[in-house]
Amino acid sequence: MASPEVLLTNLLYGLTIASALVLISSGLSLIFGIVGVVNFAHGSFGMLGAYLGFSLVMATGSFWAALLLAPLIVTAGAIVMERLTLRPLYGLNPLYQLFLTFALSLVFSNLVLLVWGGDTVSIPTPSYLRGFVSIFGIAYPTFRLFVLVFSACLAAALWLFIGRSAWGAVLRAGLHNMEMVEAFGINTRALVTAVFAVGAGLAAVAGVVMGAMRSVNPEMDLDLITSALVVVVIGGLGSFRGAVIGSLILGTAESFGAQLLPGLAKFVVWIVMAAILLWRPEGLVKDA
Amino acid sequence: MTLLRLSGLRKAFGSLQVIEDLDLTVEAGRITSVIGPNGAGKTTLFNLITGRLPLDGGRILFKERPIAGLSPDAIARLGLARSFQITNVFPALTVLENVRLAAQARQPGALSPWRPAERLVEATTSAQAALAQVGLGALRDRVAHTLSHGDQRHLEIAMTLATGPELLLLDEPTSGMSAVETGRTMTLIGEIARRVTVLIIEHDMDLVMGLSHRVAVMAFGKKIAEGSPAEVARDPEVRRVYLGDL
Amino acid sequence: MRRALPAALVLLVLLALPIGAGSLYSDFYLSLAIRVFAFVILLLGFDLLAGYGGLISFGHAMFFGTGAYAAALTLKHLTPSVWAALAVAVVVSAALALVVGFLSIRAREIYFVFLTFAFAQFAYHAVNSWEWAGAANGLPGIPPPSLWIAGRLPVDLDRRAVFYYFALALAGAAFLVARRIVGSAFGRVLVGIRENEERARFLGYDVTRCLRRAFLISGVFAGVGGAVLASFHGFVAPTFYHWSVSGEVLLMALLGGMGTLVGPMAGAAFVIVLGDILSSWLAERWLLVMGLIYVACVLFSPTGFAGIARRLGALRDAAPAERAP
Ligand SMILES: Nc1ncnc2c1ncn2[C@@H]1O[C@H](COP(=O)(O)OP(=O)(O)O)[C@@H](O)[C@H]1O
Ligand SMILES: [Mg+2]
Repeated sequence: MASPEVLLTNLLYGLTIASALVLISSGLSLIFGIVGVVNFAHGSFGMLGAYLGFSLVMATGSFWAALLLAPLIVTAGAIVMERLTLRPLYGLNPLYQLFLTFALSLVFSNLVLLVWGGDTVSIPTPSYLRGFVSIFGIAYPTFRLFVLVFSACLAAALWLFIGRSAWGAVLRAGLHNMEMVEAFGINTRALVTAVFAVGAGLAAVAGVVMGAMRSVNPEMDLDLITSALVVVVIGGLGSFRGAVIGSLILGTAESFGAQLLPGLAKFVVWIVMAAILLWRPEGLVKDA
Repeated sequence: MTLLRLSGLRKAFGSLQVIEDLDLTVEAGRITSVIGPNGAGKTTLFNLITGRLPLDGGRILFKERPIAGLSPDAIARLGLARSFQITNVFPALTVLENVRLAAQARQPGALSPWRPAERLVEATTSAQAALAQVGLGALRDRVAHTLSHGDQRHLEIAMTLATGPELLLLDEPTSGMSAVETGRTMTLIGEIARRVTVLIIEHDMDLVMGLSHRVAVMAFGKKIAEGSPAEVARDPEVRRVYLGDL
Repeated sequence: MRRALPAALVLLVLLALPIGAGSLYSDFYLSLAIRVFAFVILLLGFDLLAGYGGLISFGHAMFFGTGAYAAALTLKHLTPSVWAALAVAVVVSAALALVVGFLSIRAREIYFVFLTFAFAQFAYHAVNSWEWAGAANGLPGIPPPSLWIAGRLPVDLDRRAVFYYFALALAGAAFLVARRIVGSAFGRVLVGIRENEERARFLGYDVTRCLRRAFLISGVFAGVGGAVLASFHGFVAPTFYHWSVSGEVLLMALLGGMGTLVGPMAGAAFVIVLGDILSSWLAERWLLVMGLIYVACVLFSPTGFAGIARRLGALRDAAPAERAP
C-alpha cells in the first residue's frame, strides 16, 4: 500500500480537482434544474476561458487580469448565446436543446481551432505561485494549492449566495418549481439568463485555472464537459449539493485512480459514473 | 367462487397509514364496490392490488394465487385489468390503436417483431367489439387526445375491457362526467358486468348502490362496513362518515 | 401510392449512379454513397430505438465501432467472406447490446442518454488501449472482402461499383426489415411504450423486456452499418467509436425527423453529402459552418425535414385528426 505521504498528496490533488470541478459543473447542474436544459456547450465556456486567458496573459503580462477578464468576456458571450439560441427552445423536447448545444460546441471548438490553431499552449503563472510549498511534511505545488483555495472559496461563496441571499432563494424556488416563481411575478427570463451567465463565467474561471495547472488544448472542451456531466449525473442533476458531492467523488477517483491503476486512468471516470448510475439511476442527491 | 381475496393489507406513506389491516373478497360474477370519501385510500388499494405500489404487509390472492410482489404487467397478464381515476390512455394514438394495443397484450404473438400487427386479427376484432360496446365505434380513427373528456373515460374502459380480463378494476369511472354521461356509463358497467367480474371504487355512494351486489365502505384506510347495499346504507357508522363528509 | 413515385425515382438514380462514375463524375461519389449506405443502416437502428421506442441513445458509436472491428478482425484473420464478417459483426454487436441494454434500460430520458454515453466512452478508451485491436492506430490493411459462399461465388468486392451495389442492397434490405419491424405487433407496442409507458405496463406489456429487445435490434443494425463501412475502407480505427459519431447520429435523426425511418435516412445522406461539399469548398472552416447550419436547422425547424414535409403535406390534405378541435 502507498505511503501516507503519497496518500496525502493524492488526497490534496483530488480536492484540488474537485474544487475546480464544482466551478465547472454547478452552472451545468443549475441551468438543468431551472429550465431542464443539458448544455453540451458548457465545456466550451471553459475552453474559451482558457484560450482567452492565454491570450490575455500574453497581451497584458498579468495572470490576474486574465483571470478576471477572460470569464467576463465568456459571460458576455454566454448571455448573447442564451438569448439568441436557447431561449426559443425552452419548454420543447429536451432533445432539441441537447442537439442545439451539441452544434454550438462544434462551432466553438472549430472557432478555437481557427483562432488559436490546434496547438497545446500553457498559461504562464506568476512567479510567486510556482514552486512547492510544504504541507504536513509533503511538498505540494504552490499553484495547485492556489487552485484549491481559490476554487474552494468561490464555491463556498456560491454556496452562501444560493443558501442565504434573496436571489438565491428565488433560484432555489426555481429549482423546485419554475411556474411557481413565475406566478409570484418574478422575471424568470432574467433569472435564467443570470444563472446561465454566472455558470458560464464560473466555467471560464475553472478553464483558466485548470488550463494554467495542466495545459490548454483544443480537446479541453470535451474533457471538461464529460467531467462536468459525470459530476452532475453522479450527484443528481439540478442540485448544487449534488454537484459538490459529485465533484468530490470524481476528483478523488481521478487522482487516486491515476495513482493506483495507472493503465486505467481514462476508465476511472466512466467506471465511477456507470457504477453510480446503475446503483442510483437518478444520481445521489435528489433535492435542490 | 372467490376471485380476489385480500387479507391484512397494510400500506403507509411515511407516517401516514393509508391502508390499515384491510380484508376484502370479490366473488366471481358479482359487482363489488368499495366506497369511501376522498382520501380514504381507495386508489391506493387499487395500486396495491395491481402492483403499482409495494405492500407493507398482508396477502393478495387472485384466483387463489398470491400476486403480491409481481410486476404490474405480470398481474395484468393474469387477467386483472384496471382503469385509472385520472384518464390514462395513449394520447397521440388513434382510438382504435389504443384499444387494439390493449387487446393485443394477451394474444400469442403480441411481441413478435416480424408478424404485422394487422395479422393479429383477433386483437382488431376484440378491439372493435370493445369500442362498439362503449359506443365509440364511430370515433375509432380519431386521435385519442382530441376526444371529449367523457369519451376519453369510455376509451379508458374499452381498453381495460379489450385485454379480456377476468376481473376489472374501475377507479371512479365516472369522475368528471356530466349527469347524463354518468348515467350512461353506469348502464354500460352493468352490461359489462354480465360477462366480467367488476370491482368499482367510487366516492359517490348513491351512484353504485343500485348496481352493486356487495359494498364495502372505507374511511381513513379502514374498512368500516361491508354487506349488501341495503345493509350498508342502514349502517350508522357509514351514515356518520358520509354525513360528516358532506 | 403517393410515395411510390418519388421512391421509384430515388431507387432508379441510385441504381444508375455507378454508370457515370469515373467518366461523368469522379469515382469518389460512389465512396461517398457507400458511406451514406453504412450510416443509413446505423440510423435505421437508431430510429427504431429512439424514434419508435422513445429511448435516445448517445452511444451508438459503440455498436457502429464494434461491428466495424468485428468485421475487420474476421476479414483479417479468418476468411475474406463478407458474409462471415457480417455474421460475426451481428453476433458481437448483439452481445454488446445485450449487456449494455440490460444495464442501461433501468434509466430513462437524460439519464439513459448519459449512461449510453458513458458506456460508449468506456468502449472508446478500451479500443484505444487494446493492442490486439491495434490500439490508437487501429487495424490497417484489411484484405478486400469477397461475396464468397463456400467457394461458389468468388466475386471480389474490391471494385468500387460492385461494393456500391452490395452496400445499396444491404441498406435496402435493412430498410425493409426496419419497416417490417415498425409495422409488426412489437413495433406497435414500442410506440405505445413511447407514448405512455405506464399505460403499456398496466395493459400487460413487460416494458423493460420490450425496450431491451429494441435496444438489441438497434445495436445490431448499428453494428452492420459499421461492418459495411469497415469492409469498404479496408481499415478501422478508434474514430469509429468516437463520441462525435454518436452525436452525428443524433443530428442526422433529428434533422430528418425521428420516428419516420425515411427521415433519418435522408438526414444521414444530407449531413454526409453536405459535409463533403463544405469540406472541399471551405477547407478547414467547414465544421464551423456545419455547426452553424445545425444551429439554424434546430432553430428554424425543430422537427426536421419530416416536420417540413408534414407541414407541406398538411397544407395539401389536412388529415381529419388534425382538423378536429
Ligand atoms: N404516492 C403517495 N405518496 C404519499 N401519499 C399518498 C400517495 N398516494 C396517496 N397518498 C395519500 O394517501 C391518502 C389516500 O389517497 P387515495 O388512495 O388516493 O384516496 P382515494 O382514492 O380514496 O381518494 C391520501 O391522503 C393521499 O394524499
Ligand atoms: Mg382515488
